[in-house]
Amino acid sequence: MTKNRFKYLDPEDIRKLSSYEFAPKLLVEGYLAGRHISTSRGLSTEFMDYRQYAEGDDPGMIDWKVFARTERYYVKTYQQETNTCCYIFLDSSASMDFGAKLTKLEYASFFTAALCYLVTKSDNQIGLQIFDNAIRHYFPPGSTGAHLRNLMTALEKNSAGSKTSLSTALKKSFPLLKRRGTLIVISDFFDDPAAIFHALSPYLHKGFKVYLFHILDREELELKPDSLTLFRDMESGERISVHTGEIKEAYRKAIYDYMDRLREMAFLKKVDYMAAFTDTHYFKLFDRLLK
Amino acid sequence: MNIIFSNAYIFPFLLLLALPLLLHLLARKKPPLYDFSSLEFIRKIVKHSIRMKRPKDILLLVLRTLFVLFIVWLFLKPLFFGKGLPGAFSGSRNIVIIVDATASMRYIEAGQTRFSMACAEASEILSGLGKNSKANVIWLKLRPQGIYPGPSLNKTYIQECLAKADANSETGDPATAFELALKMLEGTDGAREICIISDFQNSQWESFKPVTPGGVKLISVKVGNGNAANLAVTRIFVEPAFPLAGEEEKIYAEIKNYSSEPRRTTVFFQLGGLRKNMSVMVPAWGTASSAFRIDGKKAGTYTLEISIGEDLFPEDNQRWAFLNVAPALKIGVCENSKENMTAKFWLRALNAVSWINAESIALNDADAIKKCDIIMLAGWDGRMAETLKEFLASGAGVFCMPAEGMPLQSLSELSGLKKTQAGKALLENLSEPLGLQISAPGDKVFSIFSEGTYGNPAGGTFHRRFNINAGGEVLLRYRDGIPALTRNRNKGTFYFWNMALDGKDGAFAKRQQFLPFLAELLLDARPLIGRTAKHYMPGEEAQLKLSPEMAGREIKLFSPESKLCNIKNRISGNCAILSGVLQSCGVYCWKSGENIIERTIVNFPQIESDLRTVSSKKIESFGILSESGSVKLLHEGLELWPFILAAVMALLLLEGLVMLWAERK
Repeated sequence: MTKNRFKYLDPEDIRKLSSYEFAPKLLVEGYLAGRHISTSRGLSTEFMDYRQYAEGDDPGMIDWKVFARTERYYVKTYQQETNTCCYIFLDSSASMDFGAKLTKLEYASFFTAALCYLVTKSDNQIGLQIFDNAIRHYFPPGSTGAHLRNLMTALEKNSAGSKTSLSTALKKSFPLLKRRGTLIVISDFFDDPAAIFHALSPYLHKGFKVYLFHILDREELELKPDSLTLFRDMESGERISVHTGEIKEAYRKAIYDYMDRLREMAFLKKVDYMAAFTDTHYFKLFDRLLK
Repeated sequence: MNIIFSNAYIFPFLLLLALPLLLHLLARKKPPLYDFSSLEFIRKIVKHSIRMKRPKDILLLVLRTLFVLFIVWLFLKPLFFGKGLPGAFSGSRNIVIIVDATASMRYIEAGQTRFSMACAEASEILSGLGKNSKANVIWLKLRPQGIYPGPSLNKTYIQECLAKADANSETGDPATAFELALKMLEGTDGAREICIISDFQNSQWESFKPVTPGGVKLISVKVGNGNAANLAVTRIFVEPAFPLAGEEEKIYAEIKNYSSEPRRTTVFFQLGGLRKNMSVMVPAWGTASSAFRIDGKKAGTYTLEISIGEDLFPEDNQRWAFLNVAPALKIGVCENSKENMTAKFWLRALNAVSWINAESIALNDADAIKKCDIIMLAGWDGRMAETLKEFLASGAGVFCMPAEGMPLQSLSELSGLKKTQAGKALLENLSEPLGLQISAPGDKVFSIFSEGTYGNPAGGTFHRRFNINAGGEVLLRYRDGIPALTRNRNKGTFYFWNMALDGKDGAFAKRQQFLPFLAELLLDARPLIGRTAKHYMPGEEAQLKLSPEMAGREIKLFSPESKLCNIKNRISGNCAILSGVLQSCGVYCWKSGENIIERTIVNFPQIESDLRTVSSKKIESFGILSESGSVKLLHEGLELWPFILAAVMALLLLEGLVMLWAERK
């Protein structure tokens, strides 16, 4: 990888990422044996269970210690270790274009790029889906360098689209994901939380480990200084004239309530949720993801 | 209630009312545009807070609209007419102001008399009249009088008169004053008003019921309040009312307290050089009397003066009276030929008494009868009954011994009996001599006989008598119960004499106690009313009838302050009558040269001493009741601009408070 070849992945970040390893705690279905715990039983050293011997089984698999105690034939089964598959859902709606120094989309792109690099570096597969209210780009899982370059190029060419509909994107994407793995959703979650988690249910049911990264700009929490302001919605273009001083407190409470609601629902669904602010370095997100 | 706008041409500026609305709608500040990720939360918050914001906006809009309305109103210069008298804008007006100038208006309140307040009020009303308006002032007194015969344009002169005027000691005649005011307004063009400015003294105005014709407005302005406390000398009387020379007298002064608290005062008595005083406590709303004993005086007329300590209303603190001490009782004995013995015995006895001047007069001589103090009718046959009745009514005394055959009806009428008797008086010959009995031993006429020094007044026997019951109080009666001497005291004193004095009829007249008893009876029959000169009230016209021999002399009338008064001279029959108006209280003297011909007393009218006023409700029943100082406003209208300005300031303050409250919110 040449120096400054990609916008969202610079050599300094690559150097820092060398100390990280992508190892989410989840069971994966993979084609490479050895790295991750697989739900498929097979040849491995990691004991999983006993089962009665059946015709066709290798007699060498019989556990003779059990036979000595029970006079019955049991064979050991082992968990198969394999490579994992990581799917990134990147929200590219218009609202993600918000931010003064660094837009939320740029921040999310930096994080996505680093994650892609980290996953492919550890021979795991990475898939990327860029969406707004529909799936704009879909990259099936891959782990090759060419695949990574494609992803980087896609991220660079990506720009903010129209309205957010995470739930729609999740629903439409589910049939595309053949293997279970890690699902990382990077969005500002301007959607109905109930609809989002409803759309996540099939993934969770299938055994996906889901991470929700809520990208926020500080100005979304603290409205600008007290003055009459005409706000324009970046997604719908709707305008509202309001005195920020009058609604400042109420707004802050509303947004925190919303985040709390997301966090609470995520906890109930056993989904990891993390609020990420664009003024903090995205490497901090890895601490949560790779711990 | 009317409101008139002085600057009505500013009305189009009311369109400015739309200004705050337009400002509210259009002049909103254009805020900076700010792209925001999502307005979902802001929309929800604004949707909630708009409910809070809208009342504030509406309140501010209302306040600002009112602000503009009041500003425009301020320039319209509205005038408020509380009781519908926008006369200043309706052309010429005719107003007659009745100013109460009676004695009660001299009461001092807050350092000035009620009359001064009334004049100031009247002057204020006059100053508020337009150039074309006519006015006049009627002084309310005993004989109400206007400054002009009718409403006049020369209001300056009326104001000068008001400035110079002073209340007098007269009582007033509100009804006559009102009629005079109505008469003055008859035939006048424009608005017609009568304004009464008075203290509305209860004793004077209670019975006043004005009938105001259509087109005439009656406005009442009350000056002073009804809480005035006052003490007054209300009456002087002498006991006996008809004193004789050398007789001891008692002078009684009646003091009345016109207040709700008992008050102590000192009563001063003056008779010539004799001065006495005594302290007296007068109960609340009550009277107290002070008695001054004086030794017997020589015959003559004396002037008494009673006064009390100073108070806020000094007019009624003095009173005068004449004390007429007669040299002797003048008794006329009218004899009837049939009863000449009775008259003879009476005359013989009367002539023996030094303080009696008795003479025989003819019954038909009315003038001679009127000159007497007591008339004794010996054998009255019923003639001259009317003259005798009038004589009795004047307070004099009449002794009546009826003649045989006299109609009893005449006797009943003269004695004042309500129940008249029929028949005639008939003498009854008694078969046996009959003695007398005292029926009222406690009566004053028997007081000197109580110790026995003068014998028994009921001694002696009678052979003849009238069997008549003349009614009244029986003093002596025959032993069989028939009245011998009865007394009827009404205005005068009537004695029915049923005791024959002729020697053949009885021995009553020959007894030694007859003379003192008769003298006691005559003292008792003295006139009950002192024969003094007539007492006048201020404002009244005193008259002096001159005898033909006085007709050629120059007579002058002097006031108590020794000022010469105007008198009129007229001839009535063969007599000249002088008359002069008595303005103030005191003793007036009619003089011919240096000789005093007659004195005339003018006392304060008692009706004016009670300073209580009628209720506002009663005054309102006359017409419009206006507060003192507000009649001018009633006509000119109250300028509302200070109130509107205050309202504007209040609105500004309110807007500031609303804004502050909104900011804090």
